[in-house]
Amino acid sequence: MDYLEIANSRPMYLVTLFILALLMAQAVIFFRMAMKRAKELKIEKQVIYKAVKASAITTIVPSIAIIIGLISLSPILGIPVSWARLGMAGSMMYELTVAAIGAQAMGTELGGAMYSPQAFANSVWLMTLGVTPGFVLAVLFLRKYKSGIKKAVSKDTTFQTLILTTILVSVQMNFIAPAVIGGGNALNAVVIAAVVMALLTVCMVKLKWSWLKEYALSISMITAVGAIVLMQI
Amino acid sequence: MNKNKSYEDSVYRLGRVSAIIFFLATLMLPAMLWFKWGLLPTKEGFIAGISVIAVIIIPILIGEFLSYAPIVGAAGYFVMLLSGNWMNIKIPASIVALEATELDSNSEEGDVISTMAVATSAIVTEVIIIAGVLLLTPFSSFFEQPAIKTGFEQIVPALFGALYIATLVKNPKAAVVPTIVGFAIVVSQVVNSLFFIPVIIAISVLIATIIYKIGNRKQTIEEPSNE
Repeated sequence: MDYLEIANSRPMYLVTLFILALLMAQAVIFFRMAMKRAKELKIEKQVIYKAVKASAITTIVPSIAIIIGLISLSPILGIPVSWARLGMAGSMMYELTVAAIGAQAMGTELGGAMYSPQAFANSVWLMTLGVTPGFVLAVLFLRKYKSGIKKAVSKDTTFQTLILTTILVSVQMNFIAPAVIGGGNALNAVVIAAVVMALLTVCMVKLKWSWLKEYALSISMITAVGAIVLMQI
Repeated sequence: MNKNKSYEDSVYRLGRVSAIIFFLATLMLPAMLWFKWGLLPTKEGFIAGISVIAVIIIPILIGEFLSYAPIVGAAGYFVMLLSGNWMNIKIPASIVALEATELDSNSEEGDVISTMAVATSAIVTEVIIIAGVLLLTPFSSFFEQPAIKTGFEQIVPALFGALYIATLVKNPKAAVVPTIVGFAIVVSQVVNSLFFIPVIIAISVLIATIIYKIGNRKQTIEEPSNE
């Protein structure tokens, strides 16, 4: 039996749907908990609506990128495994790296002619077990770590903002600096999105178009991607 | 205060329980291959793979934990843990929601709004992926066109280019140190690219803290009445 037949079989889909149901249930329960807490904190309904709308809009474009990841991964790992790994608990880079290591450890290549059912099983085991430390850290240490940070910076809000911004920009630099140095389409994407965002920010501040806040990030991303598509034609 | 404590307790309780159940559920995929089709990797292949992964992935996951836990609330963190795609979807969604509602991420209100944003984002992502799976065949032919594919491959740099400007406008002074450190680390390649994030954060936070403390001391010397 070809491993892809197994990979795309009904039982595999059922397990994936079960995992998906757990994930959705958790998100809904946390949402409702936060909603209840918001009432206690007297946060207005309008504010909640605004936040939900802003989050939903911002999520759409990068989620489409996941579908593209799915398109490239599913011929190799089958739809259920690609779906469960890309859309839940993981990300494209991580899953590809680990799946490839799994194949290599079995003396073959991911998606290559020699990629056997056993090699496929190895990729799946490793992708699943590879994230264990992330879960262990969150379950055992998240509370301690977060209260530690709170204690360290809570007395001084200016310092708190400084540290949070520093962390955020550091993460952004991980993606921006290689693009700027490497040039090409990645650099174009950074520059176009940054310029569009800057223009939109001017509109928000000078023209007081505060409604733009929810759309600015998505508009910047779409413009950059669209411009690069046009450059290819 | 008391209510806040009980909210926090239930967040961690639900977070931990859901994380454990979810992790066990993900094991069902490889377990299914084993029980239904008798598919198992060879012992040697599995051990070789798991040792490579332990060496690479454990430091990355520790770095991620240390880096991302401070920028999102506990409830949001547990939602991200299950739904993945942290930096490309969940954290931007939370930032934009906080921006739109003009709430501070450090406040309790901000924490609650950030939780709703991350949860909403998780649900929206999954719904879009379900649509994607159902329409995979027509989608494939559209997205596999070289121009479209090249464009969408740049979504991550585009996202961060725009986010950078948004952060810069809000807090330009705080962006200086990590920007310089980020470029220095990437250009010098002193560490493997997989460890860029934790290394940039560690150095930047250290330098920013030192500068801030020195600045504070100067200020208190110059303006003793403020003490």
